[in-house]
Amino acid sequence: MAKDITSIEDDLYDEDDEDTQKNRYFTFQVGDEEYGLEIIHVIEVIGMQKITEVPDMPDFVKGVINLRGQVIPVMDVRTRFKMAPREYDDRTCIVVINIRDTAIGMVVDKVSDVIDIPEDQVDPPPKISRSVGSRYIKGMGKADDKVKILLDAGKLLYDEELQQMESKVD
Amino acid sequence: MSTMSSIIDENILSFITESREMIDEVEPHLIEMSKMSSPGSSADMETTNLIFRLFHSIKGTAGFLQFNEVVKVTHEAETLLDLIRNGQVETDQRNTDVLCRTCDIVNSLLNQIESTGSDKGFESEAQAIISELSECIHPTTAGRENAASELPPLNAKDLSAENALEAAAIPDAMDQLLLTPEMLQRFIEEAVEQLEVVEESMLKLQEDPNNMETIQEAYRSLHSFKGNCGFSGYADLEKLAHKTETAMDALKAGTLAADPSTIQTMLYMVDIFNQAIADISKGGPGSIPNRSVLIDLLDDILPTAETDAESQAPAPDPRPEIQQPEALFLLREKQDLPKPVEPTDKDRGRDELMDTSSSKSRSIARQDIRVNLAKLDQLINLVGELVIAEAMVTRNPDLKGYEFENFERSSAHLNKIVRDLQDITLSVRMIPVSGVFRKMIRLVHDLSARAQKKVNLELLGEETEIDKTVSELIADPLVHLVRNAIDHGLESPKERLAQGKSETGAVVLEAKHEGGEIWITIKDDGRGLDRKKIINKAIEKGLIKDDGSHLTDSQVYDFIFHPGFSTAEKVTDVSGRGVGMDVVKKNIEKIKGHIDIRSQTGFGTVVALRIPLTLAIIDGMLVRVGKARYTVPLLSIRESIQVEKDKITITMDGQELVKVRNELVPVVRLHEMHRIEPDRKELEGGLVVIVEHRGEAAALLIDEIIGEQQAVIKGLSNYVGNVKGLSGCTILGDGEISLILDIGGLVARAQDAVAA
Repeated sequence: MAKDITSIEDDLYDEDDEDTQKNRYFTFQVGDEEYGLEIIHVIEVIGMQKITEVPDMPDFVKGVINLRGQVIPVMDVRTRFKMAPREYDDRTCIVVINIRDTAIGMVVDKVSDVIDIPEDQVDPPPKISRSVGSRYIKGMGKADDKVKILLDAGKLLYDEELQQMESKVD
Repeated sequence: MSTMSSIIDENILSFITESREMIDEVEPHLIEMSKMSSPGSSADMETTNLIFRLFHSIKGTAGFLQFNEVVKVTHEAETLLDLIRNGQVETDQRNTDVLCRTCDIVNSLLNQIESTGSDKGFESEAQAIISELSECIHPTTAGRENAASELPPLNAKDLSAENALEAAAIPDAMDQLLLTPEMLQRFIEEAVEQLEVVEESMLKLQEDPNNMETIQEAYRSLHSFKGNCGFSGYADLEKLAHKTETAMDALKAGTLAADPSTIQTMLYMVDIFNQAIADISKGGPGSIPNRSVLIDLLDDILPTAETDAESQAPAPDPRPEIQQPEALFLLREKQDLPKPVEPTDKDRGRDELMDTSSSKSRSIARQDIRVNLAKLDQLINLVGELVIAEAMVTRNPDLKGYEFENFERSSAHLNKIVRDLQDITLSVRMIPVSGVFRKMIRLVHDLSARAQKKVNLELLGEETEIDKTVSELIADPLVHLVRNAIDHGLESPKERLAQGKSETGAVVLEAKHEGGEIWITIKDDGRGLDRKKIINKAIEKGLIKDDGSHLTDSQVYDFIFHPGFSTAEKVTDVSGRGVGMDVVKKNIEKIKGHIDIRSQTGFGTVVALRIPLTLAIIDGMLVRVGKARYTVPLLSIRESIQVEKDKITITMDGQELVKVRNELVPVVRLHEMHRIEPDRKELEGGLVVIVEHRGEAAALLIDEIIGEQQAVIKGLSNYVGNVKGLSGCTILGDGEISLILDIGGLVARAQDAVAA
């Protein structure tokens, strides 16, 4: 079951050591599925807050937020996966991750847990998949008889859309 | 470990920056020198000495770092200056020209060093300038000065030795002349640091006698210290440092054991050096009264073979063998006695010299720190955030409706401190504009010679401070503008006389504060811009379709900023290709500045660069559209009006225009661009803010004007990239983000829509 945010944050901050971060995943829920991100990318989890919309952005970039004086963009994972939008509720969270020295917030339905998934429990992504999001999948992790979809954070953020976006901006 | 390479890099880097500063300083003086010299007169002593000193310092450090080309060139320049100083050579146009070019060569060498780490690759240029210099030296001095000019190419070792000798040989008064207070201060600062390193390494060595790295480190620092002492003319210090270095060398080679007593001696030496440096910083001569005793002490610990080979010290008195600790003890006792200060004539002369500038030598205690610019920017960012956080606390919505007397008082206090802190941090980045201005002296000198025009350059408001980034970005535009002023603006002396103007043209560079902006103006009294010529050229280029008679002057002058726009009939090697003004515009826009041009045919042109005081904060007008709040830079707002029905025109393709007095201004609907729900969509009766960018206007339809406020500019994330119509964002007092509108982009978009 989902823990509350503070206990997950405790977990996050406890693990400073590179070695212990290996094979650890931060998991969250979007729609019916559970997803995992390598813990090394995750900085913190914050509650939903006011997002300032920025024009001329791809639809999955919801805008920017003020994270203690730092302005960071926010991406809606639902929209990114081309899932139907859903009203934000009190479970909706922003997961702040850091990829290539850029901080970005990801809106997810619900945060779950921090879990260990050993390498031998990770299967390669399914070869044939019709879902839009499949190209962001890094592997399928098995934990407690359940399957977590492990995401490639880099691809999630920097994909062909970004190139389009850049060409549009210029 | 990065010790070795980083120490050397550090030295070279500071050599490069310092030398550049010195060259920048030399140039204006050279030109001053050439101006003051009339045929037959000898040059002004003070100026010549100053130039001599600067070249000498560059030579000294270059020799120390083994940049032989730099040494050769500066050595030759120094020789010439020495002759000028002694009145043996006149300061004529040729000599100063050659010296100016010497500066150029040294600059190229410095660039070379910066990019490749060595000064190889300019041998032929260096040789050329050296032979030119010696030509200047030769004619009058063929007999006397052969020795100086015919020196075989020196290698660095000879030179540092020579430096030391020179320093020792020159009368003391001369010594002091060679050191500017700044140099002295730098010497002291460096010495303190170097000695600290030696001390630290010695202490480390005590714990770990086999640690070669610490010995190396100490050796290097000591060596630099010795070099600096010699170069600054402190012979006593240099000799003792040399001896200590020898001992350190023995330590390094392993011929001297790093036992406690050796280390004790070394540490003692460091103490002696520190005392001497402290003495110097108080304006003292930095002499070491019992130097020979100390040298003997070092000799004693050194293996004998080493002593003979290295000994430069005066023949050691035959003295009884004393055990080290005892010797130290004896020495300490001696030190504790009142120093036998018997000022020799030499010393007295020096003391007097120092006395005349005693207030100056006191101020040596003042210390500057070179700070990494990135750290500074971080600090400024943090302070920016503090300003926001302060507003978030003191104007917290939770406090609404309550009266807290003490809280109010404390928050007022906090507010004041935060403002002061902000002012100070922002001022840290500010540097006087004089650095950029003084570069123009040389430029004007060269250009006036080439264009055969007489030009008098006047610099005003040099002390005005501007942001460092701004100063870097305006350097290029200034060069182009000054070039234009001289090449196109000013007429030839003949023309000027024919028009009843004085033969010498005037170019005035001025910097001043003007209502939240810095104005940098370039004024010439030349022929002025030719409106007709510009319009003809604009028609030719297809920039205007009619005869252009309806255009205002400023609109006409704006054309000269178009890339490739030049009315010059012929392209000279100085200007005329029409690139320059484009560069000016680009750079000034980068720092959110404006360019104003005023011109009167026959009387000259004034170009004013209006640059915001700081890049980090703007004055903004906060406006609301629906739930979104935008910041509009105050400087670009012309007015705000309520739109009346009869003022609205709609073109066939739906573009709305508002008539403001006699101008039709296109309307920008922010809510459509940004997909937000406004309070009202009807233009009629709505509120518009008329904004202006470079003479073109647009009307922004908004719901409400909230008020003025200072905005700390933040970039949108890299991930978001540049967005058209936005120049960044700022965080409001309540923590929400407000997007800052890029008026230039919006106006261009609106005007395009009308044209389409």
